[in-house]
Amino acid sequence: MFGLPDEFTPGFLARLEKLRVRTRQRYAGMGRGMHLSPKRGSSLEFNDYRHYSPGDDFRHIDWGLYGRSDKLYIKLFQEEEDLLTYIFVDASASMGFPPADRKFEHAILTALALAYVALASGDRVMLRVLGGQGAQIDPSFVNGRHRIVELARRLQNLKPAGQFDFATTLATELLAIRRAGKVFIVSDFLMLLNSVTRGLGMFTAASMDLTAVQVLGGREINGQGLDGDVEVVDSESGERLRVSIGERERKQYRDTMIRLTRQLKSFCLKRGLHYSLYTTDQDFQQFFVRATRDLGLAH
Amino acid sequence: MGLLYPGALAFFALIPVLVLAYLAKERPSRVTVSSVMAFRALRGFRRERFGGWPRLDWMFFAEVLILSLVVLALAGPFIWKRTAPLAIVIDNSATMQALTPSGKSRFDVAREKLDAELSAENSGGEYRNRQCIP
Repeated sequence: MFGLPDEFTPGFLARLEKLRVRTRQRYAGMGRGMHLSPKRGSSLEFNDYRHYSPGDDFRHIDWGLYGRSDKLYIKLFQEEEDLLTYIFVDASASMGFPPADRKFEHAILTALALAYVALASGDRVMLRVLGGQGAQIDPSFVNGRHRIVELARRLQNLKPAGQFDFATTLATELLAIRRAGKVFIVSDFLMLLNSVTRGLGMFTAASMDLTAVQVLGGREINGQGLDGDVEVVDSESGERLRVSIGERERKQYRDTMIRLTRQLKSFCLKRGLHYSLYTTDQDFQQFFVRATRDLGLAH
Repeated sequence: MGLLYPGALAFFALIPVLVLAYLAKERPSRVTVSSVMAFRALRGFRRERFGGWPRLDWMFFAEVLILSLVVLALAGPFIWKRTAPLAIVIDNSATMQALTPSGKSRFDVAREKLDAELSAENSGGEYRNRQCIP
């Protein structure tokens, strides 16, 4: 529809428009918006009083308080600004495997849906791609819901490729983006937990409100399509392992995958981050409805 | 024990062919995966498994057994029976037709005694009664 993936039906877009990005703290934005800002301003949200100083706007004097205390006080209001939303999409080679799961396509869908939620509620969105090839991503903010088509078009020719060190890459990105806000990282997170925790830890240290969206293939998490003696090759490092896979081994593999996802979830919850797991055998639209809170969104 | 067609035993050479077929079948297929992290835990199984490489499951042993039985059947095995043949001759001349005091002929009495003797012996052997009519 209008250059968007088929999953973005009018009904789904209407559902996304009812959502907004939720943050656990207040962030300064770049313009008027719907999120309370740490700045004081002119919204209807009362914030505090201060003594009147010559030159202050008479309209903000609390005359009721003057009547009671015989002193002039100015009412201060909270500023409402837009939210700076950063969406990182992992486009490393691992996102392309197993091909039958279409993991990368689902990661892009997730990123676009999150971007649409932010754009539809008047926030600014910066989309960043980690690794990959064929992408022409402009490292600047976009705002306005119509810009979602532009974002979708930019991601159209992107192919998962290459490998990167998660912590180092995120450190570089953090230096580049500078201003704090909401961060979504969409990845399979199939890398050393130490690297992941260091990477995510840097963002939390920089006062970012972070949501980790783990995208895994339905076949990948269950070890389907692998049977007998198999030589498995790592899509990124090229490491090879010879394994024998029967029912018992498949169960052990599945348990290991679940343990890895739980480790990441546990880390995120301990650090106060949002975490959501999406497996590609789930219905995408249903996932977005069910996982609203886990994604760091609110109605 | 002997074999009617010992040359058929040459078909036992098919068993190594069967093993080779299994070896070829057991060659691992190469699959590219997103990450080998979760597979590292599975490596121990190969070392623990009895027999190691290749995986010779019950199907392999069943096939070897069936092939062996077919080859043996083709070779036609037989068993030698070691028996001592015994010839009994009864006189069938006219004098044997003379009646005894019981009213039976001498020949019938001789045959009855012979039957009784052979039944008592219970050797499990066979005997043939050949008569020669004068």
